[in-house]
This record gives sequence, C-alpha cells and structure tokens, in this order.
Amino acid sequence: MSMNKEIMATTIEHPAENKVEPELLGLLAEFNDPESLMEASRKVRDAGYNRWDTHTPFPVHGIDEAMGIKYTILPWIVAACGLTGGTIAISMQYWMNAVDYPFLISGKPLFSIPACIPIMFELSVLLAAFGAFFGMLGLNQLPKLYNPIFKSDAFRRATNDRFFLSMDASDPKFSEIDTGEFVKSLNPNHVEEFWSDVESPKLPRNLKLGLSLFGVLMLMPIALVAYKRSTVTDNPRIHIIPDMDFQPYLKAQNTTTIFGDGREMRPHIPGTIPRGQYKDDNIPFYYGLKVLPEDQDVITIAAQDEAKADEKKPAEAKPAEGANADAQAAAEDKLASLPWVTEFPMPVTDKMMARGKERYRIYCSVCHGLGGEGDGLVTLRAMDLQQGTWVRPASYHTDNVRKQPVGRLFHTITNGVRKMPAYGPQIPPEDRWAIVLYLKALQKSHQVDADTLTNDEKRKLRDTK
Amino acid sequence: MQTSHDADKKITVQTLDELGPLPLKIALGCSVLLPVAFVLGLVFNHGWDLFAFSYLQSTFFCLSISLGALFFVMIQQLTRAGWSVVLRRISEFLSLGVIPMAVLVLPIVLLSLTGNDTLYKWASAENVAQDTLLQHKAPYLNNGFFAIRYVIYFASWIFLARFFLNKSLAQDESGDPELTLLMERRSGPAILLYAFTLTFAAFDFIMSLDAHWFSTIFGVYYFAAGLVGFFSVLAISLVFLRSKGLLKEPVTVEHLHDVGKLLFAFNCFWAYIAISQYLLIWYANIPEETTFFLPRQTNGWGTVSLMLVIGHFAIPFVFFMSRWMKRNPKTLCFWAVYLLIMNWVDIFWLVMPNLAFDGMDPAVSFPMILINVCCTIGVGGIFVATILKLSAGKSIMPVRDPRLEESLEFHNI
Repeated sequence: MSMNKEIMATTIEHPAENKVEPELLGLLAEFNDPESLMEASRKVRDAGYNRWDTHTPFPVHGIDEAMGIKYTILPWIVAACGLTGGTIAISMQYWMNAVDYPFLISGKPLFSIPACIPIMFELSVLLAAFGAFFGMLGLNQLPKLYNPIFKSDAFRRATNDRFFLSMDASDPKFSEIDTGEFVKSLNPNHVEEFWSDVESPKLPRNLKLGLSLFGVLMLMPIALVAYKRSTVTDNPRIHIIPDMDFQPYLKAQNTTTIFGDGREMRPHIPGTIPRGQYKDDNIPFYYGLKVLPEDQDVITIAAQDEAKADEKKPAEAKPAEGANADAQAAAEDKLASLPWVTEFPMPVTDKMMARGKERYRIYCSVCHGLGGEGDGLVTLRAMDLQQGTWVRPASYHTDNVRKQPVGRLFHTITNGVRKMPAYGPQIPPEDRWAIVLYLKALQKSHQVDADTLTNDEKRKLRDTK
Repeated sequence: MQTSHDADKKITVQTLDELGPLPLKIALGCSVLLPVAFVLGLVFNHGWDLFAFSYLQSTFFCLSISLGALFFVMIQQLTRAGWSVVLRRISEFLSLGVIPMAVLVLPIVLLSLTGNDTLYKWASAENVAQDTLLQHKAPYLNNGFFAIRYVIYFASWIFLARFFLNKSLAQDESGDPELTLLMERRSGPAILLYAFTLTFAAFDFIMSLDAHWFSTIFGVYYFAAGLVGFFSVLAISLVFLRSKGLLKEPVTVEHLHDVGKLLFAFNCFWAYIAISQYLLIWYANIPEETTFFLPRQTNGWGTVSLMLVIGHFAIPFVFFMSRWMKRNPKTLCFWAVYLLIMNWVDIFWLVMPNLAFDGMDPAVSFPMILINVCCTIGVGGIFVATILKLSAGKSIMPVRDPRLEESLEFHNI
C-alpha cells in the first residue's frame, strides 16, 4: 500500500492530461514452496474464481489439475489450419493444372492425385505449424511486453525461488475486501495489491528519434524503386547474379585470348571430317552431279529462287504468274547447264529396283500416281474439290521429263521443284537413286514398241492385271 | 551416475508366470495351424507356392515386430530416456522373438540353398543363365552369400537382443548404474549394426523376390512397418497385462498415451515412406521400377493397395489423432489391434503379389487368404509361445534401473 501512495503522490505533479484514476488490478500472494502453492490453487479453484494465475520458476507437475485448467483447444486450431492448408493445396493444384493451364506432362492425367501429395503435405504442415505457433501466442495472449505485476519487487523472485498466485480484479467474484481476506486465509508469505498505471508511459526521446529515423530509412527502398521505374537510363541494368548474360561470343577472323594460338576460328582437327564434308568424296552419289560447279550455291540458289517465287504468288494469281514463270525459266536454265550424271553412281540390281518400287509407292504415288502420269489419289481429290492452289503434278511421260538425265531427277527428289517439297531430308540417298531407277523403268514401260516384244511377253502383259 | 535415493526401495517383482499357463497353452494351440496351412498348401491348386510365400510373409511379419522392439530398446538407451523404463522390459522380451524367427526362417534359406526357385528366382542356376540382369546381380544374389548373410543378420540380432536383456536383468540383481552407462555406450554402434542388417535383410528376403526391381528406400519401408507392428503389440500387451493386474501401478495412462503417440507417429512415418517410394516410381515412370506396382494394381491387388492407403493411413490418421483415443486403454487397444492387422495386410501386400513371377495367377483368392491366415496364426503362436517361455521367471520391469523413479512419476505436460 505504501508503494502505491508514493505513485499517487508523484502522479499529482504530472500535467492533467496524463492523470488517470489508478485502478486496482488484482492481488499477488507469495508462497515458499510448490506444495503450498498447489494447496492454495486447489482452494482458489474450489472457491470458483476464473481469472487468476500462478507463477513458478519451473514447470510444476499437477498444477494444471490443481488450478482446474481445461485442456487446451490448440489441437483443434492446428487441425483446422492443417485441413485448410490441405484443401487450399488441392484446389489450387486442381485449378492450375486442370483448369487454368492444362498441360500434359509425360502422359499423366491433367489432375493427378499422386502429383498433388507433396504440395498437400507441405501446405498442410505449414498451415498447421502457423496454427500451432500463432494459436499458442493468441491463447497465451502473447506477445505481452508489460504486466503491472512486474512493478512488484517481490515478484522478481518468481524466476528464482518463490511461487506466486495472482488474482485478477476483473473476475466477477472478485471483491476488494472478501478476496483479500480469502487470499490471506491461504497462508501466503505476504499479499500485495497491484494497481494500474496512472500515467500512460512516454517513449524515451532517443527511442522515438531512432524509430522515426528507421521509418524514414524504410521508405527509401520503396522511393528508390518508384524513382527507377519512372526514369530512363542508358546504363545496363545491375547484374547481381550475371547467370549466362555475358558470354564471350566469338566472331570470324578475330583474335582471342581463349585459345593458345590466338585464333577464334578453329582449324580442322587432324583425322576428322567436318560435318557434311564427307559428301565431297562421292559427288555423283550425293548430288547427282559429275563435279560440283565452281559456284556451288547454284543448286541451292535455284531452289531458293523457286521457293521465293512461290511465296510471292498466293491469291492474286494473274500478274504473279508471269514473274513466276520467268523465275522458273531462269532456274531451269541454270539447272539444265549443270553437269548431271547420266549413269547411276551405284550398282543397279533387281533388289534396287524392288526397293525403288516400294519407296515410289510410299512417297511419290500419292501425287504422281502409280503409273507416274500425275494422277495420284491426292491429285484426283484436289481436282475433285477444285482446289485453286493445287498444281497438277508433272507427268513423267512428257518429253521434257524423259530427256532429263538421272542426276537431274535425283536432284529434283532431293530438293523439290515448284510445288513439290524436298524429299532429301526424308529419304536416304540410296533410296532416292532406287526411286530414280524405278521412275526410269516407268518411263520406259510407256514407250515400248509392241513389235520389239516376244509373243510370250505380249501374252504375259495381256494376262497380268 | 547419480542413483535415485530410493533405488533400493523394495519393489514387488512381478513375472509373466502370474498369468498362469493359459496364454502359453493358447499360443501353442495356435501353432497347430502352421501344419494345417502346410496341408492346405498340398490340397489347393498351386498350394505349395501359396504356402511358401505365406510362410515367408508370416515369419517376416513376426520378425518385424521383434526388430521394432529391438530398435525401441536401443533407442531408449541411446537417448537416455527416463519415461519408458517401466515398459522397457516388455520390449526386451518382445525383441527375443528374433530367436524363434532365426529357426523359422532357416527352412527358407535351406530351400534356396538347394537351388529351388519357388521363392527366389535367382536361387536357381537355370534361371540365372537365362537372365542377363540376374547374372549381373549374381555376385550378390547367390545361394552361398545369401546363407552367410542370413547367419550374420540373425546372429547380430540375437546378440543385440540378448545383450540388452541380460545387462538389464543383471541390473535387477545388482542395481549397478554402471550397467546403464554400458548399455548407453553400446547402443550407438548397436543401432548402426541394426540399421545395416535390417536394411539388407529386407532387401535380401523380401525385395529380391522380384530380383529385377530395386528400391533403395525398401529397408526403411520394412523398418517403418516393423515399428508400427511393434508399438501395436506393445500397446496391446500393456493393456492386456494391466487388465490381468500386472504392471497396473507402474504403467499409467501417461505411459499408454506415449505408446499411442509413438504408434500414431510411426504409422504416419510408414505412410510417408510408402508415398515417397510410390511417388518417385510414379513420377519417373521407368519400366523396370513400375514392375513393382503393376501386379499390385491388377487382379484384385488394387483394392488391397487402396485399402492400405485408406485403412492403414487415412482412417487412423483422422480418428487416432485425438488425445482421448490414446489415453483410453480400450480405444488404444482397439486401434493397436486395427493397426496390427493393417501391418499384416502391408506385409501381405509386399510379399504375395510376387507369385506373379512364379508363372501363376497372383490374384487375391480365398485359398491364398486362408493359407496365409492359418500360416500367420501358426507362426505367431510359435512366436508368442517362445517369447513367453524365454521370459518366464523374469521380472516384467527393470526393478532397479536408476531411472525407474523418473518413469514411475512420468507425466505428460
């Protein structure tokens, strides 16, 4: 009580706005040992008080029962949070994987439970842990930086060797006189009252200054970001982690410090063949030419010219037609003057003929027809549907095609011509030659004089369907 | 080491003998079902295969319980646990089950030594000659080395189980706290030995049934299964013994609560390991790994697999989580029995679908379940009877353990 008067005495000197009537917050009783505290706790519990607490330097077994504390509801909070986490995880994944951005990954179903389990587990655990941590803080009314009990000098020994029981004045059963008598009847060392603060404590000047400074400093990153977003700079952005942004790209004909010889272009490694150069060992076989022309690009340029001309053509048919024809004629000229091979650059066998027939039927016959007259099923259907962009494929039996050397035919299959795409990437050179062989046989079959055939052959032709 | 001030206080020594001869008689009676299962195996179509696999399943089901007990005993010593002292002796008794299992597993080893390929394809030279992968694995998976490993595994386990029981029993006589220190010091290396032997035993005896498949987590899977089995059996034993008036004073609801917590925790651990194994295989979708799950999703095994997911994990997770379930001896006992059955289904699911590699239909069938249940009860009878026999006349509590007082006063906060 004496201490309390002292506070009241000092209060009067303070300015009026800080003055508050002191209020009795509760009673504090001190005990010497845990047993007497337990004993007292049982009595307080039985007396029906609800808002009171005990303070001990170490956990005391059985104090919960002595105080009549109900088992915590924390597990339910944790369970609810965990379930929420699991539900969020599974609905989030359902929405992301099956609704918002459906994407097939290794043939698994769009929404697949096994894939969801790790995230479900993680989020359930995370939210359960949050529930446990914040739920514990909330149920214990923490963090609490200050409690009026701390003003008691005696209470300091609560962390050392004394046991305390505090009665809260907000308890409905609390009354200043009766409760005081009751607490005294518990045989404590002594009882004291604790009162509310009569002034709202002021923050120390330095702390205020420090906090405002910190607050201003905290604004700076935001201000900096806002400033940078609204200005333009010529400087490259700051690379905290450069990743692979800066790489030593090498250019032709330059020097470098990376390699010992200072050359950026690397010389051929002895005993190796650069990609593609092996073809130069067998030009007739790979190009259908006797020798490669001086200007090696002639072949590819001719092909590119045609492709460009085709691209220009679409829709507005008439005016482009002439130009197209010109380009084609120019390409024809260039190609016709090349030294095409006239003999097969590989041995011609029955097997090769059979292979050529098979490949021809797979790749060529759909447009050119089984007989090579340009009446394949695709063509017939396109004509039937009157497709404007469809160009009827050439018949092999025109003089123009018949005159072409085998090398030229091989080149056509490899690189394509007009609407026909290049088949080089799909068909290996051996098969292309086989197709040329079969094609030649087809041409020959259309130009045979009946007189040159024997009777046997004539009969065979008549009987064969 | 500081001894408790009343370590020499007179505590009444109780033994399992007080249960009377009935439990032993019942256990021996049950063991009759093992020959019955054998005869059933001769009667049914493909019965020999069914019996062989069932026998392996039964022995490794019981063995897993003993190994779980052994781990529990060692980990309590390693962590200097005080709460568990009152129930440690029961665990030590359960770990003695490795002794009958050593005998019961012997026929399996002998069978493979003769080159019989009923269980292990790699045991027959003929199969190995036709199979490149088996040839590559032959330096490890061959009959001689297999038998040697069998000896190493069981010798280690029997040694460990007997070491911890004998030292503990010696302490009952002398009350010497040095023995506790000795056990603490030995438990570290002992756990290492245990971890390696258990992992490789699981690889050898169960995983190599399908010698083409491999999973590095399999040893942990078997370990997790064993601990679920052990804590179930421990909970059942404690509730049973207390109902018979044994350990009634020392083992309180607090101890039961902790056994329940560990049972629950290791059940979740089992689920975690199981999903880890499944998920990796599911994600990667590599043919040689998925061969394990394919037979377990067809021919009725899909139902068993789902039963494990829901019955072994989901249902106990929801209903066994509550504190009340673990503190009530009746509900604890219920969940312990339930999880023991689920653990049995788990080992059943691990072993039986491997029948597919014997060229027969591995579908879940009535003869399969009948033979397996008979076999398990039979082997279980021998298992329990031997443990009762070996633990007869011994105190069911380490009466002079220096931490006994702490255990007696144990209280969940």
